[in-house]
Amino acid sequence: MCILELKNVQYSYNNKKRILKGVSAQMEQGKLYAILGPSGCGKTTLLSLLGGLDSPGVGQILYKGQDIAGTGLADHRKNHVAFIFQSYNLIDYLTPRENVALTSKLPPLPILERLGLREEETRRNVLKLSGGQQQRVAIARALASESPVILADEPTGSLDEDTAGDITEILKDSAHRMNKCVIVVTHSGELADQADVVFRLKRGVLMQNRS
Amino acid sequence: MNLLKRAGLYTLRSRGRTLLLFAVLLLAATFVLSGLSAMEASENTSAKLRGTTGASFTVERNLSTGSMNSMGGGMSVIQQEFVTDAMLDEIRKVEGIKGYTAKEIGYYNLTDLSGNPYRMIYDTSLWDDTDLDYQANVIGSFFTEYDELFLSQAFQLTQGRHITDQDEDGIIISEDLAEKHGLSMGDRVLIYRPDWVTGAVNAGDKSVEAEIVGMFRILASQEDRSSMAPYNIYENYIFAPMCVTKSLIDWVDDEAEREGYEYADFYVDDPEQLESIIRSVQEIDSINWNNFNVTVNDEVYERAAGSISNTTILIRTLIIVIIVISAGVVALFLSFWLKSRLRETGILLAMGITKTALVLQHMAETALTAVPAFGAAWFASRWSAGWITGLFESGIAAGTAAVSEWDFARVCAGGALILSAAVLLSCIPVFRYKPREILSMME
Repeated sequence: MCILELKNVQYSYNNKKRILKGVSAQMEQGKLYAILGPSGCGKTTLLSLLGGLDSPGVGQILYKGQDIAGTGLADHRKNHVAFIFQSYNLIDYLTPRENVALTSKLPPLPILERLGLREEETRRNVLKLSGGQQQRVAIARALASESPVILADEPTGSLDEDTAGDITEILKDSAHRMNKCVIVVTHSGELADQADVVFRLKRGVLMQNRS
Repeated sequence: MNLLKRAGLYTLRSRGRTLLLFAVLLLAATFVLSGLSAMEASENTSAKLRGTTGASFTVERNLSTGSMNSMGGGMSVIQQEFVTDAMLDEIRKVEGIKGYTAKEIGYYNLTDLSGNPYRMIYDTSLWDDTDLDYQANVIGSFFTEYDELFLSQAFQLTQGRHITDQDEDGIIISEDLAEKHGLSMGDRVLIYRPDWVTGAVNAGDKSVEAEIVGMFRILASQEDRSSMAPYNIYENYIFAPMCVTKSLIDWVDDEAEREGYEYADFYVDDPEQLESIIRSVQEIDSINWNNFNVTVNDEVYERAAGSISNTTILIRTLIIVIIVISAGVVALFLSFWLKSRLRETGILLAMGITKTALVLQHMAETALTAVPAFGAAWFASRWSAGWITGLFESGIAAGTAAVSEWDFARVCAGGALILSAAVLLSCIPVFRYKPREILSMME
């Protein structure tokens, strides 16, 4: 079932260079999507529009058939989507538990342990964790929010090969076993290989490569 | 996690920032509270002074409406009514008048009961053996406490009591004159008028016996004492009841002149009521106001209050400067800290937390530091209030400065407003961007 839909979305920076030229696509729950494309082609912009961090100049983004501009972008970000960033973006004065608790009222420890953090590691300041551990905390935060859609921007970009593999598995698992719609912007061929659907963004046009 | 918990965790874990803000707010609030207490002390002193010095008006003969009387040989004098005892009685009954005085000054000798004169105090031998060396300045008064020399605190009564209109033979002399001649309270002396003082033919000598009922200390300094005649030197001033000085001018032919006064001063309870009291006085029908001038005379209060008023203005200016500088420093700090928290702002916005909630979080963080800072300022300012007051005005007793609950409430309310405005101002540069732009900036 389609949960997110892009309808003829156009976007340009400062009303000059058009970076998205009428993008349309549909995304479903329970699938892992990968968006590939050269640097600067607008992948992150597309992800930001899907997540309600910005609004398109032309076109609509629908969540379960409702225009997110109508229901409110802040409401969309709070209730429908969760972000995972390449640079983890954890709050630096909080512990992993507290970072997860930012988005959820559920106890944070089980999900952190499920993603591989030891109990004592969940009490440390996040800056004292390794990059891989920090990304696991960021994923835990996204999963704990119980948002149906997870938007990940280069989630393995800063990680070594083994850790990147682990994170890919977690994202895949989130889509397939937790019925999330996981949309990943990536340069990683390995991650794209694991995706159920691969889009390629080129010259402002989104094309479906494989499903 | 709600905004209060986020604010609490940030405040606890960003110790450097919290301590710095705490110190700035503590200092600013302490200075403002101390300044307010100093200002209050200054105003209290002013009010006290107003009660002490009061204000007065003078009723004096209006010579411009008098008639010219020829004395022969081309000489003429102005004839005009004097201020009489009957007039004094009428005027003193007006509500709001707390006292009055008129002066009758004469230059007489002070002697013991055997007639041996006491030499006056002076700084030069110029006056030795000139007759003037025994001449005191004898001031007849109804109420010496209202004499301008006591009101302006040029003189201070240190022993005994003031003279009132009920006195018949009590006098007040200076401590210095008493010490010079071994005089003490209760001693009886003569006020002696030599014949030559009157300048009148066959006026004759005259003396009045009096008792020393008070002594004063001289607080004001006198310039050019060396060139002054002894009777002009403060140490040689003697205050006597009006009946004493009147009896010493019995040589004057004109009865009206002998019984009347050139002028009389009336003192009121509250200087602010002065004008309305004067209006009431001028409505007294039994007095022909064409023959008298009424002039307002509150120079003593104005002069003394002037320095206090300047102090109050100085303190008020200082308080405003402190508030403005503190608000600027706090806004600058908050703005700087918020910019350093761009990443956090972007993350929280991406989670769907609204900008309003983030502003409220920053306000809560500031409040969590401001509340203990203001609390500490309450105690610090109580300790420093007297000290700071003393810095500004030595005339205001340190003990009179106290931080009131009302001042504290005003500072807390004002502080809350200023800090809220500072937080809002510091948020504007960041929050005018879209969440995506903030996230791009931090990348």
